[in-house]
Amino acid sequence: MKCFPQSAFDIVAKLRSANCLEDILLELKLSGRIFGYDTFLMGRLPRSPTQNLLDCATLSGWPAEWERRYQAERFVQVDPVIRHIRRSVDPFLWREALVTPGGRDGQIVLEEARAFGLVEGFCVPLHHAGGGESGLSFGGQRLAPSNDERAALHLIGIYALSAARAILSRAVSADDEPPAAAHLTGREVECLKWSAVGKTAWEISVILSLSRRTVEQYLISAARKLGAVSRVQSVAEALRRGIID
Amino acid sequence: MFTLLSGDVDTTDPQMANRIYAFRHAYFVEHLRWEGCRQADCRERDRFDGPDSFHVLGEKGAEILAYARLLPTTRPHLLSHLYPEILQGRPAPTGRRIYEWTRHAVALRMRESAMATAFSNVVSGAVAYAAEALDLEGLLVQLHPALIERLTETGWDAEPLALPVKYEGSSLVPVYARLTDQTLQIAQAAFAAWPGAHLHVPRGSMCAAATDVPVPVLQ
Repeated sequence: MKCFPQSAFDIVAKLRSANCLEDILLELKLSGRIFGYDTFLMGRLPRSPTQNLLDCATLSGWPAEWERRYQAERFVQVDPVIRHIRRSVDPFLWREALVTPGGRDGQIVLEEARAFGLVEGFCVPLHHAGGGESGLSFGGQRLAPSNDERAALHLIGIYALSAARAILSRAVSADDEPPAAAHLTGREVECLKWSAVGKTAWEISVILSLSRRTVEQYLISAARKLGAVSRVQSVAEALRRGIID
Repeated sequence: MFTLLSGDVDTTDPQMANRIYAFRHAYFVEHLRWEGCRQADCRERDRFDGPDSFHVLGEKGAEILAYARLLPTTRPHLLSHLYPEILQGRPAPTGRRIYEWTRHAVALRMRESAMATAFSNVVSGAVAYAAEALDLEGLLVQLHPALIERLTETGWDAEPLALPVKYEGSSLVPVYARLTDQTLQIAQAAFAAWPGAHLHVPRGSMCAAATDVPVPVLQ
């Protein structure tokens, strides 16, 4: 499809002017129709052995069943794609991640993903100044991008990751309309505070003497009240509004 | 700590010019292994250096901690004459108020320090202030796609000019980085956070942006 390079620049232009994560979500969904991927996942890499998918994902288009399986099996800790992000500044196909040392250990993750329609994938890593990494993975039944398509997805990935990061870290400007009060309950705020310092739902359940399921419910309802599409975003939004500090 | 020097430093202050080209050789040839730039006299100066270019120099005493070279786009520059193929046929903006940001260097000990990000922001700020002093609209930059985030984080409005390509083994993408109010605000904040940060602009540099001349074909 020879006209796709211009599409890539159009998508990047939209990402550069994105004001909220939903804008990015929309552009990445539209871009899938051009580049042939079915879904995508954007997130930060786990910074501790206790972190799980929901602590890391910024934007997820993954099938819900795969998310549940991935979370339950703590695949985020052994996924070869995640391991490869740490070693690479250049984008790569998921199967290329199996070639790195230790990559074979996490092969089960890629094998299980196939059952959920994620047969092939392409990942754009981003290493941040000051430390930490993020990644944006595109996946689908078939994804065999040409060199030009890889370059286009690289550019789209970088701009999507960069835009998301800017949105999440933006401070409240004096001109902003104060948002409608979120009316979070005391428990919801407590759970967000612990999440903000890197605690997982399980750890929070221990700290607060609640079941993990209850903690997850509090985090889900807090996210809904804050208009956030992910746990990562709900923490950022709560910080932004001064609900937690 | 930062100075904007005109390219005619080669004639007005040969000792300073010598220090600059020696620093560039140590950094780009010895450290980054750009063998194509190696010179017998260990001074890295190429065909694009000249009286119309500018140096942004960051020093602490006699030590050069940071450097960038700005080339006018109304004369031969890297994107027009070294590797125009990376544009893949797409256009790139040129003009009196657009320069090319090249030879960006930060001394190793600053890049490895705990303050590496803060200093990197200061260097970007110095380039932003230099661009403002020269009354520029923006800068052409060619860089690894992963560094686009550094540009956007420091407030530049970075527009890609072509898809990334492999150039000498590395991924390279040409970008047009517009200078915005945000770039200058972030520059101000970075300078405020770094004691002693200041850009010295010698009188006469402010009007020194290149005039409109046709770009000659190099032999």
